[in-house]
Amino acid sequence: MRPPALVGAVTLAASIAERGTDLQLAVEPGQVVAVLGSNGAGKSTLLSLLSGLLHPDTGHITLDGQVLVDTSTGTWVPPHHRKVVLLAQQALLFPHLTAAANVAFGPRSQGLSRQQARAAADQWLAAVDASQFADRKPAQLSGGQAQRIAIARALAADPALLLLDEPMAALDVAVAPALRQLLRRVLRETRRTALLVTHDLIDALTLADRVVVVEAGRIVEDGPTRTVLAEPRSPFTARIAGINLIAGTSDGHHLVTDDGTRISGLLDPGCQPGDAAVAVFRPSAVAVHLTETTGSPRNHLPVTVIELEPRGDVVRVHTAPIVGAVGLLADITVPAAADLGLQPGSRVHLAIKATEITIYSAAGVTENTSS
Amino acid sequence: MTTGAPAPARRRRRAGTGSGLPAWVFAPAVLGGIFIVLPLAAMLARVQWSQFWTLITSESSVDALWLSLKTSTASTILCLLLGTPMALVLARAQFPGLRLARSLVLLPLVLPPVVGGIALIYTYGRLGLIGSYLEAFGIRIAFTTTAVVIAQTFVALPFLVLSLEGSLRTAGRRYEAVAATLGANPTTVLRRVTIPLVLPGLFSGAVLAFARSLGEFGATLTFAGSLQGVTRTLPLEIYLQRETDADAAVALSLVLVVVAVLIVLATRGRGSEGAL
Amino acid sequence: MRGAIAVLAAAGLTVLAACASSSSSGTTGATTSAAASASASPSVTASGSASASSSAAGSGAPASGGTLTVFAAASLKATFTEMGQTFQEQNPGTTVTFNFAGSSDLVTQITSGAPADVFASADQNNMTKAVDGGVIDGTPVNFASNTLTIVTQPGNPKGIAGFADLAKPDLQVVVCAPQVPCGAATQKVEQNTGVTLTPVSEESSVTDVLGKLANGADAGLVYVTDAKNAGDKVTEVPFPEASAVVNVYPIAPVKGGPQPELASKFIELVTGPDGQQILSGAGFQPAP
Repeated sequence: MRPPALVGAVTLAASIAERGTDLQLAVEPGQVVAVLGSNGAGKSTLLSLLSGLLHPDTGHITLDGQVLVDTSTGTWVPPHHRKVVLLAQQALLFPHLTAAANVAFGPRSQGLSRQQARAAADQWLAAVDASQFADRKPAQLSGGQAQRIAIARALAADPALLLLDEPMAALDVAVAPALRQLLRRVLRETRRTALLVTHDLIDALTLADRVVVVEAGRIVEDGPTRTVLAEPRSPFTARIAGINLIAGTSDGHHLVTDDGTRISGLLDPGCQPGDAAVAVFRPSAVAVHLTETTGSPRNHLPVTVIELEPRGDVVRVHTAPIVGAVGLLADITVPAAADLGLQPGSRVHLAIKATEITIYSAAGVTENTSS
Repeated sequence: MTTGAPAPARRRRRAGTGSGLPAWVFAPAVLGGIFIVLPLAAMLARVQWSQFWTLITSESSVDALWLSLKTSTASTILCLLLGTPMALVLARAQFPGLRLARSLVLLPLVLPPVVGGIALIYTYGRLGLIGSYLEAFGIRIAFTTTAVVIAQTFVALPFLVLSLEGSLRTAGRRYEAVAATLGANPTTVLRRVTIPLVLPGLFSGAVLAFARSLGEFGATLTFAGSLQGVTRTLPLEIYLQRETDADAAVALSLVLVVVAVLIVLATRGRGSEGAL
Repeated sequence: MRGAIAVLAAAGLTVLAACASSSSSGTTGATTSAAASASASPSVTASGSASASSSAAGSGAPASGGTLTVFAAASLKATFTEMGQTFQEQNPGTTVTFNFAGSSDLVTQITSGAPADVFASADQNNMTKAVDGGVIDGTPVNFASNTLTIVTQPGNPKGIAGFADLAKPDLQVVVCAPQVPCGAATQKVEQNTGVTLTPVSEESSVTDVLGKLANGADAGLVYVTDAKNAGDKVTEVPFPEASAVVNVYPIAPVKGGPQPELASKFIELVTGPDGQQILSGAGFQPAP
């Protein structure tokens, strides 16, 4: 492997009116950024803009200082001249070429001789532990093997920026971890700059230094992985992180939702009265009662159960949305769920201890704050 | 429960998956097959087998067959050279008036071949739009073998374009997009990804074009004329023999049918998908 | 179920075969009384010396209705259409329908059972074929003849003066193929004069020869009648050797035709003074 050079500084500002997209993003060389968001939020649009498969209405995109797109001057660098490589859910290996020929495709297209390209291919196949598949055709490979070859092919093309669009989504649960390890290894070892679109929290946690959340065509959260996931500031991030979030306004002591419900919790000092704020708590901090009870927990919320999700020795109860939250999660033991006789449609009461709730300022779309 | 009707037991004679088709589909399908095969059988019945070999090895017959094969091959190559870019543009490009362009390109399909021949004469004939200029340079097209190739290409081109365009649309652009991001310029993408992926469609389109060229009659007769060894292809020879020697006409027709069947078999054997 | 389909298919095949065989027996099965006038003397001159069996107003009383079907060679289109009108005037209530095509096509159609009352051929070969095919009633009568002539672009820009000029190397000459009557005649002229032509195309019909001429060929060999018909689209260059090769046109009633009386009346018209006048007006010469 060649000595890793730190390339891949990205700046992007682009908008597409038709899709309601308006994105601004800056990535530093060597960074791996996870892009989270619901379906249709605009994650793939972001990748397509960077790879050159999509034209923005207005935009300015640079890579390592070279202007890729500038609508004001009419500059447009076509995909094959950007050093941006896209890896998708489907491996999309060329069906008529062997695995080795696939991996050698990038180097060949960039002008290397057949021998040099083949040598690079062999090298990368070895790096992804797929040398034994070199002479197989894609039709003879399993999903995981194909995706492995696709990673080798992407890296063999020596990209400045690597774009990964849910690379593990189409793979068996059993196969994904090995591939995740592989990605982690090659990304860290080669210090590639990468954008990783994913639905899977584990991908974000194991691969990314930084998380960006896209919602409705805009970036709503942007920060270090642990911070964003542990302290989400938007409902969707919370949902992804598997954390409960109720939005409202701080009154200096509590969080007050739009319908007047007061949530008591540990108030972050930086949160001023009148600020938009969020109350965040883990599902394991939530108790489920069939009737309203009195006791030390200060927070009682009447909700309707919509789903029960078994997760090992715990049952995660999903509730219908309430004012200020997209729906809450409560983790209870299996015997407890059985005892309570919960089913979709059951009306229950959630009780949460104030000590388990953190209240801090929300960073919203409209507030244009930098993270 | 085994109290069902005995009929199901009769149907499951053979193991393996059935066609999944409703039973009534087979009757019209068989009828259609008979409809096509019956005239061929009738022709076979008319052939004078005792004279067959003499009839088809006469000088005029051999000349006609050889000319047909030569010109059909030439026009198929021409169709490939012109038709492939056309199909690529129609399938991938976007410009206003694309649909209109597409309809125009498919015009030779709906045009009666004789009308095509008339149009070609008005273009390349001695008094034609282009022909009159070519005449000034001493280039004559009418009454030459070139005219035969032009006529055949004119009628066969849409077959290749249609077949290939269909394959291109089905194949989609995903692989091309990936290739581009890997650093391949558009020519490389075309050469190493697009064309290899639609080779079956290209092949079946070429075979269709060849078959159409082989059977081409109306445009050739009107535009190129009819002279043994120069412009009298096999269909034209059959047309002429019909006047005096019905046996020769039938024998030659059979030759044409056999050649056509051989072509179809040869291509089927390659397991090509698409129109064939 | 599969067995049922096989039976169905076999039944279909049998039905089709039965239909095929029954229709071919239609024309040969029926018998008609041969019209006496059909075997009239084969030579009728155009100068109108009427024989006893034909008078200026047509023989006998006019027919009183019915449709007559005439299959005639393509080169007879203009003249026979006019004769059809005359026939309809002379025999009110009758209708004459024509089928004009190449003579060999017509023979094929008639022998395959197409309904026809009269067959007029552009040469004796095809009539002989029809007679041999058993579809002709009685003996054919010759009613006209035709000779070849040279046609060129209007104004004769290449200055062609005779048959020998056609052999000049840089001329684009179009002729009929030897398999059709006008082509056979062309071959005979070549043999008679010793001049061999190298045409650029040998067409299957005179119409196609004229068509090639219209699109830039220098000269063509067609019948006198065709040249006349083409009017000022061509310039005619007659040549003396043409008169030695005469193409004779015979006409005959078709056996088993639905209107044998009308058929014989029509043939009388064609061979009579009215018909001969129409024919000579178009350029035909009388039958030898």
